[in-house]
Amino acid sequence: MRVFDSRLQRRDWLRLSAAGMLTGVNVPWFESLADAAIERPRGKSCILLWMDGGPSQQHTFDPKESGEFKSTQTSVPGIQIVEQLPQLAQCMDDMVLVRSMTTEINGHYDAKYFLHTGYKRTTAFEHPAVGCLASSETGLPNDEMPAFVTIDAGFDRPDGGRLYRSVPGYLGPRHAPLAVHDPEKGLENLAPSGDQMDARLELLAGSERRFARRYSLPGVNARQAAFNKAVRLMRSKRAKAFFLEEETASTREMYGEHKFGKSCLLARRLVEAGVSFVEVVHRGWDDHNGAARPIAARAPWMDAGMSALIRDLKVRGMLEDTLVVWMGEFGRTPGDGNGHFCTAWSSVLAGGGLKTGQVIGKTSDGAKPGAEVSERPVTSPDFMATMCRALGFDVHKEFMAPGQRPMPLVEKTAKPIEEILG
Amino acid sequence: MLRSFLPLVIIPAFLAPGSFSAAEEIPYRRASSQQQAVERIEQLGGSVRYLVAGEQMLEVDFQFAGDTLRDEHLKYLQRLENVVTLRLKQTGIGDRGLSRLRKITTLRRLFLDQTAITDDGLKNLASLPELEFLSLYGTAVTDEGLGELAAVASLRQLFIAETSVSARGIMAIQAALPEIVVVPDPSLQRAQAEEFMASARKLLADAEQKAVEAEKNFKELGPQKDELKKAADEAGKLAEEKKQQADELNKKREEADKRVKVREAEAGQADKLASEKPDDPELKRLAEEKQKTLTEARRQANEARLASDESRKEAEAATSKSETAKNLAARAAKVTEIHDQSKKVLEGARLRLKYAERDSLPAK
Repeated sequence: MRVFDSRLQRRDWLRLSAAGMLTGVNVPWFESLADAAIERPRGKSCILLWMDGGPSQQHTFDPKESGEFKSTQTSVPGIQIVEQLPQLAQCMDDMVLVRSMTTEINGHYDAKYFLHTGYKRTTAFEHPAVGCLASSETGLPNDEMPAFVTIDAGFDRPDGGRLYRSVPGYLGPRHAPLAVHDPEKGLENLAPSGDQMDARLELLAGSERRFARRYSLPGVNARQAAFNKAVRLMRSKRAKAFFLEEETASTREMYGEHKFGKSCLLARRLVEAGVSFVEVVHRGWDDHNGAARPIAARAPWMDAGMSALIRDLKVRGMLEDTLVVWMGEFGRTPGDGNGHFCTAWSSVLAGGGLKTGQVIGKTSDGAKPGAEVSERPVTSPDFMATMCRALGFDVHKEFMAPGQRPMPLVEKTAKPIEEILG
Repeated sequence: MLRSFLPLVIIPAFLAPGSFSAAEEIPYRRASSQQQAVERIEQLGGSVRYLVAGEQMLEVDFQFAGDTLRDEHLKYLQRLENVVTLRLKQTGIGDRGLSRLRKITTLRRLFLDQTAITDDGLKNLASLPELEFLSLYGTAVTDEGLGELAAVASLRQLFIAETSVSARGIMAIQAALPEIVVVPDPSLQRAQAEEFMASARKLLADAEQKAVEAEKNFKELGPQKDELKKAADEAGKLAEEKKQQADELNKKREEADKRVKVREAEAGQADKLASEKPDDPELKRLAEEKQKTLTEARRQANEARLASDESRKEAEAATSKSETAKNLAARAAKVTEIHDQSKKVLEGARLRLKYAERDSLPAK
């Protein structure tokens, strides 16, 4: 007997339909019983390492001869990244560098929105963030674990524009992320406080049932659904994924002491426990007084955290099913990296069953190295389409946005990077 | 008060199977259709899904079913078509379960992580013609088990962390299946650790050298940063005052010049009148007076110009002094910033070396 979940399970619905108890309802999936049971594709999980503020491409994954950082040979012959990232250099077999990002927007917030959704901001409505799409496309609706979790990995410098927060928009509130503010603390308030929890919940459920019967509004149902999810999570054994102290000392060491490394470890644990999408946000890449020294200082912990994540996923046989993405909202001006630069910058994809060990695109050399994309431009919608395809979504799917406006999952003009898709 | 409710409490449905891993025993019951097999699998805490939207390949995932899943339950798989991925991680299956997989010939990826399977069970995998990916992470498998896998010609990726497999076992399977990637591969790890160590040392040396330079530059100016800033501010204020003074005097000079023009015009007028009537002594006197006034105005204008020029020079000197002070203060600020940052870079480089040292320790 379902106490909290008043919605009909899809299969119950099917049975009732078959028995003629729900007539006049259009059930397009009725033809195939097996399909009904399977509901959503498994797809892949995703860990998005969001470098908020816009990291400099020439001080990370697109070094130039005239640049401030020297480059180092990676594990793939012919591919070089900056020498400050020696551990990631050894993960090159499992990575794809996209060096030809070209994304139109140089303002922090609008660029964050564009790179998270694949759409430019409009005043009409908000587009869903990619994490929310994962929740709606591959997350299991009644799973104990949330489908989308964000982790705050702290900041180096407080600027970098207003922080973007993933919004589900027209996908509905149940696809909003669960936010973890400190990877070390995991999910605070997860343990039930006080005794007689069941009795208290039943009392609450009783009164809510009456309320929901009287006022059956979407908001009421959404609130109840969110509450049910929280209670389910509280009861789940899998929720121990939120706590890093369960991990062995050697694994924790491998990820490093920095909050970023800890966030990466938490992300791995969550994906292992069935979370579809984890976004780790590290703020403070808006290096207006020169990117060289700040990035030289950041490189060791970023190198350790991200490479540990890739290696750990690989050793556990999880890398093929987990896409790791490293990116910010734009890159920085060639040379010293002082300014915002959306014309030609880099992002990184790792694992996810992609054809890794290659570089996509190129920035110009010559008089002004890195001033523009010289080969295979990748736009924000292109990149979003690539991610969505890699994660197993149906990119041709359409949703209904406010005003009865059909919105495709990714912009129709988007061209995914076919060369890396399996 | 609440206590009286207790007998009425209904166990909520979210405490469904799957939440418990050990407690219940769900017996195997024959499934007569795909649909029923899916239902039974879900009842066990498993799930059946398409891998990718729009494609027919199936994944059966038991990784959260725990001990509820027993060997005999794997018979349900035979009811399903096109099972490509099977996740049995941390479930209660053992070698006997593996014998149930022999007919699942579509299987490409098999996860046996942290199960009770042993070398013996791996024999069964030889009958899977498509098997490419096998995770044995955290199992009791040894070199002997890997020997059995040499018969799985399609195998491309093998995961053996936290097992009893040795370097010799890895070499043997690599010899038998040249295309196989074994993860982790200790010889590769060793080479990577060495390379990492070399990079870490070099980067530390660079960081140290830069830190020494930064320290030297800092010592020259850095400690006086605040005083220099104060001096620059004061010099700036002084320059501003001087400039205002000069502007004022310049204005006065312009006014004096204007007055000279007026007086010149008046004197000219008076001269003209006097020359038209040379006999009028009054006009002559007036003309002379105007001439005197003009001379006086010229003298004043001259003084004003001298004062203005003097003041302008002073202002320029003050501005240049202020610029110098400002530059010095800015340099002091910059060397301090670089000093702070290079300390952070050095700290990072030391941390990196620590990681490299840890990586090069022999594996436990």
